[in-house]
Formats: sequence, structure tokens, C-alpha cells
Amino acid sequence: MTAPNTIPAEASQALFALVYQQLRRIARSQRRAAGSPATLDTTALVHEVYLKLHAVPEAAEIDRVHFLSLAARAMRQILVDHARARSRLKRGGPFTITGLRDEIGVATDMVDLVALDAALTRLAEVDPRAGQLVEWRIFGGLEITEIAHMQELTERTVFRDWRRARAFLVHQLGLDEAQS
Amino acid sequence: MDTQRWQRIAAIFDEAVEAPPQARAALLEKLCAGDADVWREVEVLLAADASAAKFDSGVDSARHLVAADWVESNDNESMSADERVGPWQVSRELGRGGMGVVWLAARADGQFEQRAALKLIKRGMDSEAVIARFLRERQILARLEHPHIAHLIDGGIATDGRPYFAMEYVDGQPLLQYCIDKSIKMEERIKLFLDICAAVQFAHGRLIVHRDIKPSNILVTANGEAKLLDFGIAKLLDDAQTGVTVDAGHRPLTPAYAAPEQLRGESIGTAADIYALGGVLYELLSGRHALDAADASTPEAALRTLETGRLVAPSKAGSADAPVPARRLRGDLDTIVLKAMQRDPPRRYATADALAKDLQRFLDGQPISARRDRAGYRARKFIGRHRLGVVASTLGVLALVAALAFALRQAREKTHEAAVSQQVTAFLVGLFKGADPALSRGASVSAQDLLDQGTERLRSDAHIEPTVRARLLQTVATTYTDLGLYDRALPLAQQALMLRRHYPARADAEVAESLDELGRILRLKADYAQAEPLLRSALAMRRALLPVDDPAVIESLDHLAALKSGQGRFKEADALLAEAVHSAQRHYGGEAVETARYLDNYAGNLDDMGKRVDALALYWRALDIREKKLGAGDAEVATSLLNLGVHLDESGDYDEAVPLLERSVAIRKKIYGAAHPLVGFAEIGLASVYADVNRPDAAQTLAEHALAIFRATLPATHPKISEALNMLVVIHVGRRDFASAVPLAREVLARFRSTLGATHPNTLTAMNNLAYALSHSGQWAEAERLQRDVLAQHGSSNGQIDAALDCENLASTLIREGKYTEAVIYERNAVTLQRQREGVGSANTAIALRELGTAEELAGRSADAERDFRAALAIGEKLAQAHKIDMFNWKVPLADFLIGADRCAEAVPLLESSKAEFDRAHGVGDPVRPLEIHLLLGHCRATGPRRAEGEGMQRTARAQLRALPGIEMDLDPVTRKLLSTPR
Repeated sequence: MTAPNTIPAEASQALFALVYQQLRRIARSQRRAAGSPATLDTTALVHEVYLKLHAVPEAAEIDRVHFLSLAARAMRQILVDHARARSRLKRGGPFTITGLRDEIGVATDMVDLVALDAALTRLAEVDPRAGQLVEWRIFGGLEITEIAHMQELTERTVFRDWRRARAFLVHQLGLDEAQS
Repeated sequence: MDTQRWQRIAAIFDEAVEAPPQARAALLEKLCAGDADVWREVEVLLAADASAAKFDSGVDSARHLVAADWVESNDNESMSADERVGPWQVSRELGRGGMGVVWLAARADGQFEQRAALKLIKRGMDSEAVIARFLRERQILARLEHPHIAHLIDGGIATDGRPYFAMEYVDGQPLLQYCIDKSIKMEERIKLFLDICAAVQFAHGRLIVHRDIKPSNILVTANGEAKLLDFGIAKLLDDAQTGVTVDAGHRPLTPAYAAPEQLRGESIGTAADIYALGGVLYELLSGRHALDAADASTPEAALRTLETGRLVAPSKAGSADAPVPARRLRGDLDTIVLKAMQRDPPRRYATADALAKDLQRFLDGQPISARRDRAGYRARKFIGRHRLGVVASTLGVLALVAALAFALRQAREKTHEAAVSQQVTAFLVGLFKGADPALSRGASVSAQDLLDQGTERLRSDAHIEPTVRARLLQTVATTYTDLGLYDRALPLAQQALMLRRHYPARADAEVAESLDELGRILRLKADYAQAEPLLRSALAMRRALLPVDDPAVIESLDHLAALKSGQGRFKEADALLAEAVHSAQRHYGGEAVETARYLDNYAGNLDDMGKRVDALALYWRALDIREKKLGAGDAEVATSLLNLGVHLDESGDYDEAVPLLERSVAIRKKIYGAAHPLVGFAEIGLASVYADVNRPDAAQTLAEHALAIFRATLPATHPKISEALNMLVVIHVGRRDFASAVPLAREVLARFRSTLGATHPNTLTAMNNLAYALSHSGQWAEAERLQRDVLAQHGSSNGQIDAALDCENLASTLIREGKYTEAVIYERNAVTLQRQREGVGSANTAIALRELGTAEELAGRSADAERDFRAALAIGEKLAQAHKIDMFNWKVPLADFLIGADRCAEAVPLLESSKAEFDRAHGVGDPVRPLEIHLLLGHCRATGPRRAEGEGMQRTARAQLRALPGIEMDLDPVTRKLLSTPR
């Protein structure tokens, strides 16, 4: 696996901000183009950001792996922050709830992204490779094949990692309890 | 869990999970080798793996929904206290609106203590185009510093890519809330609103439009300072979004206050702000919004309401808890609000200033309806408003070169023939050989000399092709016309038309151009009969050939309108000009110089139709555009100043008019030299206002200078000569020098009769003026005849000019002739007509009643006279509740009557309060009334214990009154008797 710290931390930070910004912009334009979709295709989003940012000088020298890591990380941060803000709204903090999408409250099968984030952090502590994989797959929207290529592993190994990591997360999130 | 332990569990899980479920137990037992904890944890994971599908779909939906929600939501809501945006640290929410949430923020970089209202623009409004534009324009906005505008302190892009604005933090309440909480009264409400008008005017002067003016965007501080928020921001956001599909909900506007054109999504300008100001004023005064709240929920609904119905006047909004009683809104305030909220932008106030001025006038109690002169008539002026054609009348050699060079370019473009341009070039070069000082004996060559030489060459040079010759003739003719040399222009324009009609390959566009120009020249010569068919054909041809908003079509509309206006057919002119303005706005844009010209012409015609408020607004707008685009010393600015100055003069706003007209004369002298007719035109305007501010000598000098210019440069029949002559009539009448006025007035009338015909409004006015001068010189029979003629004309016309006034004028002559009974009949007619036209409670009706009383008094009908004098006084008193009006005009005639009936005891209080009123006015206004009051009061005192004082008063008053020639004509009956028979 290529280490993300092959570039200086400072540049990495700047790049992260760049990715973050692009994600937001592209997300909006995607939404506008489609009118007002109920969902947003995060996978396409991350890829589009990659294509866009490839032209940016600061990003040009960054390899794809590194870049996608950043994008997935940014996406994770955005979504988790947003979910956290939303849950704060629901608890009736200092904010009034306006325009909160009904679907969020209604969708019963929805995974709590804030809890997922915490579980993923715990996973990465014991199994960094799986942690990275999950981040790429869930927040970066990357496929197993792609990840295998990036991690220089066989697809079989990646799939095994994924299945195991997922079981870990399911348990951490308590999704298995209802089943048993 | 440590890594090692996890690795062990992971290895076992990986193997077990791939085994068939029934084989797993055995496998686990083997792999775990007795480690019960590991076994249990692997089993947990295996069980969890069975819920994988639920996890996958749960993650999917969470990711998609949260992502979509993130994009859609206003991220301000996820901002928390202490978060930083640029150099600002957010502390608490202040409010939220269509564009986003507003936070109270403080400088976080420790550079200095500063608080701000920070607004992060909502998602969906921060397209890249918006951001780019924002960065360009925030500098302009930051310079928008005005005491009633919350100014932009800082703006930038937050880390998340959204633009933010930091505005001056205003610690105050929204306008309406403030007014309710503090029980603010009407006058104070209007004063707060005037501050906002000033702020809007200031910004408009810098080409910044607000676009979202509404009560909640206006905060009032604890010490009563109103501040307008968010200036320029809506436009900034909106403009940059054009071209991007944005749903109406994201357009920064508030349907309840948005102008119709804004609701339709058309490009909008300052007029939309005027509309919104009207909406704010409506609500401020009536407590209700102009649109029923239910109808303004969406732009579409608001637009439907606006387009299907008329707005209800604020006084009729029917709110029981209205902050201002309906009776106070009725009349002036209703008119002002509805004018600001006109559906069509050109019908609104042109500027916030114009709106403010009308309100100020209301506050000062200066309604136009109560401003009529006591005499009912005064000699009227006609000052032709100056129209400027599409060809700028900047004259001189340079302008001529420009005009010819333009012709050259056109010829080149139209023919693409080198031969043509060579011919034109040769012509030009030849022409300017004449300008060589060596050849012209060192004398400076005037544009006219050059044109004369050019004309000669055009006649003699056989090498010029017909098409080129026609164009050059046309150009030279136009230039002559602009010099006011219509007789020289005319044959050239006729030749050009003939040539063009007989081209081998005839071009209709060029024929139309020639027809139009020829028609224009004839119109300027006031030859309306010949001009009309030409202008009509030109318009018809151009309409058939060209797009509806083509400049040539607009020009034709304007020229035909000028003709109609000259004929006194103002309504026909109005329709043509409205179309011209509309097309110009589309073709050139609302703020273009070309549009300003048509606005100015439109305004002139509105003035002639009596729509004075509308006209004023358009004059200001035209001036605004011209000053902005052309600079303060431009010829077109001088034209605007002249038109505006004349209008203000006619409205009685003399102090405002004087500097404008002085500027106009100065600019024109500088551009054209002292002897140009355009200078004369402006001088007539200035002379008029000088006459009104009682500077007859200055006025006369100007009018005589103008007349000399006109006689030297214009054809003998030119209407401008009549205008100048009439100005002298007005000046003489003002001095009460009726003997000098009569012959001039006769000349004016004769000129108008021959050039405009017997029924033209100007002819009728000239008749009135002559009759007035005659009546004051004792030539009553002739005056009566003229006045009867005028009345007959007006009675049969469409009533543009008041037949009621004619009745009053005739009656006053009849009174002088001693024909009291007949005078009573005409005064009664006048009352009836005024009641119909202006309403039973109007100032004009009161004046007519008062005049009727005088006639009845003289006819010996004392009971009727007293009743009518008192009725007039009662109307006056009622009007005085809402407006500041001079009560002495109603009290003195009644007092005069009472004294005649030996009822001094009743007369004295009326006279004393009139005197007090007059003293308060510091002698401004009518010079005759105070003398009358003195004479009458002196008479009453002389019959009582204060006899000596009374006789002294009478002596002084008599001496002063006798110094005014013909004064006895203008006095009330008893006063007149007291003047002529001193006891």
C-alpha cells in the first residue's frame, strides 16, 4: 500500500482543502444538473473531483492513490460532520429545524454515519489496511478491483478484508442484534 | 482489542466465513484451539456477517441521503458558535432569510475590535459565476458608505467555498416592528422612509441596485436611525446566475415586494427598487401589504395578482388597526404610493429622489391642487420643451466632420465599393480645403460656411454618383437642420429624396430615411400638414422593412410623435412615444443615452397632457442617465436641464429650477457660442423662471437676447420667435405694464393663428393672454370677445384645458364691464365644472365658489354671496386639515363682503387672523392681499375708537395699491370702492 505521507504534511493539508472544496462544488452542480434528486451519487462525485483536480497544479503531481485517499477522507469528513450536525438539530440544540429532509428521519434502515465513523476509527486502530479499504469503499465509492490495484493485493484478499471489516462494523453498530 | 489478537481472530474468521455454515462449528473448534474468548468473538463476527446485506443497504441510503441533504441544506445551520469564517468569529444567530442565516460575528484575528453581521450565502446560490462576480464587486459595495446604509465591511470565500459578507452590525429593530413598538406617528414614519429613499438614491447614483428592499431589510436603531441592509447583494447573486437554471425559489427576491418585471424574471433596474420602496411605504402607512398575503406566497401567484387586478389604494386597505387613519392617506399619499408601485416601470417615479420630493412636499403641505393663483388666471407662457433628435446637435466644424465621416463609413458599408468611398473622401477633402486659413483669408471658417461650400460642390461636381450624392445631400441637410437653417436644409433633403426614389436599384430603407428627414424639417418649420404624410410613410416603410425595435423605427415613432405633439394631439403622441421608449429600452437598454432621449421626449408630452408627476420622474431619470454616461458638461445634459428646469418652473418650484436653467444656458453657450438658437431656447427657459422669482429686468434682457438670436437665425414664422415674444408679454404683465404687453400679445396671437391655426391650444392660450392684458387696460369689449371665443373652443374640445377657467376669465371681464348678472351665470358654470372635474371638496371648487360669491355680491344677491363665500371658506378649512394652505384667500373676500354690509365686527377677526397668517409667511407670495387686508382693517378701525390708527393704515395701503397699475381690476368689490373713494 502506498503511504499517504509521501508528500509533506503541509501540502497534503492544502490539497485536502482543495478536494474538500471541489467536492462541495461538484456536488452542487451535480444536483443542479439533475434538478433536485433525493440522493447524491457520491461515487461519481469522487471520480469527478479527481478529474477536475487533476488539472490543478498542486494536485497534478499527486498520484491517483493518494488523491483518492484524500477524496474519500474528505467525503467521510463532510458526510459525518453533516450527519452530526443533523443529529444535533434533532436533539433540538440552539438551532431550529428547518428544511430537514424527511427521508432522513423516515428511513429506518439507515446506518448512523456518526456511529459508523467511530466504529471505523476503532477498526483502523487494529487493522489499518481494512480501515483504509472501508473508507475508500464506503466514502470514496471505489470498487474492490480498484482497491486491489491500489493496495497491490489480490482481489480475493481485498474481498476477505472487506467481509471481515464489515462484520466488525455490523457488530459495532449493533446491527446484528435485531437479527438474532 | 490489540492488533495481534485481532489478527488471530481475523485469520479464523476469514477461513470460517468461507466454509459452509454446517461445517463452521467443527472448523472453529479446531482453529480456536480452546481459546473460548477468540471462539466467541469469531462467532459474533460470523453472526454479524449474516447481517451484511442490511449494513450495505443501510450505509448506501445513509450516504446518499446525507450527501444530498448536505448539498441541499443551508450549511449555516451546521455552523456552530465560535466557528471561524475568514477573519470572523461567529457568536450567535441574528436571523435568517432567503439567502442564508445571519450571524453576529467579531474579528477573530485580533487586529481590531469590530462587530459585524455575517452572512454566509446559502447553498445553491454560490455558483462559481457568483463567486467570481462577488470578488469583483465587493470593492464597489465596500465603498457604498452612506449614513442610512449598513455598509459592507468585508467579504470573501469561506473555507468551504461559499461567499460570505460581513456587514456593519446594526443593533436595531426591523422597520415595521419598530414603528409598532414605539407607536410611531405618520410624519415620523414618513421621515424614516425619506432616510431610506436617500440611501437608495445614493446607491442608484453609483449604479448599485438593491433588488430586495423590504421592511425586514430596514433596521431602526434605538435612537431612530434607519439603515438599509444588504445593498447590492441580491443583484450580485442574481446576475451571475443568469444562464444557469435556477428555480425561482432561489432567486433572491421577496415576492410580496418584488416588481412585476422582477417577478417575470426580466432584467431589472432601479425602477424595481422604486416599486419595492412603494411597497414598504404602503405597509408603513396602512399596516397591510399591498398584496393580499395569500396571493404573494410565490412569484407566480404574486405576478398573477398584479397582472389581473389593480392595487387597492392604501387608504382603502381596510385595516381597522391601520397606523395612519384612512382619511389622512386619501389623496396625496394614496397617489404617491400607487405611483411608486405602477405596473410599468416608466410610469413609476424615475428616482427615489423624485419619490422623496413628493413626500416632502406632502409633509410641507404643498399640494399642487391648492397652489392656484388667487386671480384664477395669469398670463401663460409656452416654453417649448426641447427635443433632441438622434443626430446630436453638437455643432461646429468638428461635428460636421464627424457627421460626414459617418456618412462616409455608411456609404462604404452599404456599397462595399472602393469607388464610392473614394468619391466621398474626395468630397470631404475638397470641403476642408475651404477650411484652410490660407484660402479663407485667415478668418475662422464656420460650420455654415463649410456647408455652403459643400452644397455648391455637390451641385457642380458631376463625378459623384447618384447614390453617393443622395447620402451626402442627406447629411448636409441634416446638419443644416441642426443649425436651425431649415430653409437651406429643405431643398437638399427634397433632392436627396428624389434621387433615392429614382435610383436604378432603389433601396427602400434609404427612401424611408429621406422621407423621415424631410418630414422632420417640415415639422420643425411647423408645416405640419406637409410633414405628416411624409413621417407616416417613413414609419410605415420602416416598420415593414425592419425589426420592431430597430433604431430607425424608434426614430420614426419619435418624429411622428413630435408632430402630433406640435398639433396638440397629445394622446396620439403619447401612444407613439410609449412605444418608442419601450423599444429603445429593449434595443439600447434601460440606462442608455439613447433611451434617455426618448424618455425626455415622452416626459415632455406627458407634461402637455397634464400628467406632471409622471413627467417629472422621467425628466429626472433622463438627466440621471445623461449625466452618468456623458458627463456634466454635455450638450444632452443641457437639454435635460432645460426640460427639467422648465417643468419645475411651471410647477412653482422656482428655487429648484433656477440653478438648473442657469447651468443649461452656461453649457450651451460654451458649446455653441452665444448666438446659437439653442442658447436662445435655454435663455427663454431661464427668463421664465426669473420672471417668476420677480427679477423682471434680468428676465427681459434674456428674452430680448433670445429673440434677437431667433430673428437672425430662424425663419420669420418660426414658433420660437412667438415663444420669445410671448415671454416678453408675460414679463410686462408681471410688471403690470399692460400697455407694453398688448401689442406684443397681439403679435403672438397673429403668429399662432397663421402658423398653428385658430384652434391650436397655443393659439387659445395666446388669446387668453391678450384678453388678460386688454381687460387690464380697460379694453373690455375686445377682451370679452376673445374670451367667449376661447370658451367656445374649449367647450367643444376634449377638455384638455379647463373650460371652467375660461368661464372664470370671461366672468371677470364681465364684472369689469358691469355685466354682473351674466357674470353670475358664468361663475355658476365654473363651479359646476370644477365640481365635476376636481370634486366638490377641491381647492379649485372653493376658488370658483369664492369668485361666484364676488359676482353675486356685485349683482346685489347678498344672501347668495354670503352663502357661497362661506361655502368656499368651509372647503378651505377642511383642506387646511390635511394640507398647509393659505386661508386668507378665503377669509379676505368674505370680510370684504361683510364690510360692504356694514358688519365690521364679523369681518375684523377674519382680517386679523389673515394678517397673522401673512406675517408668518414673511411676505412671500401675493403682494396685493396684505395691502387689501390693511385697507379693510384700517377702514373698520377708523369707524371705531382706534380711528387715527385706522386712517393711517388706510393711507399707507392706498398709496401702495395705487402704485400698482390696473390694480383696481384685481381687488374685491368693497376694497375697490375704498381705494377709489377715500373719505
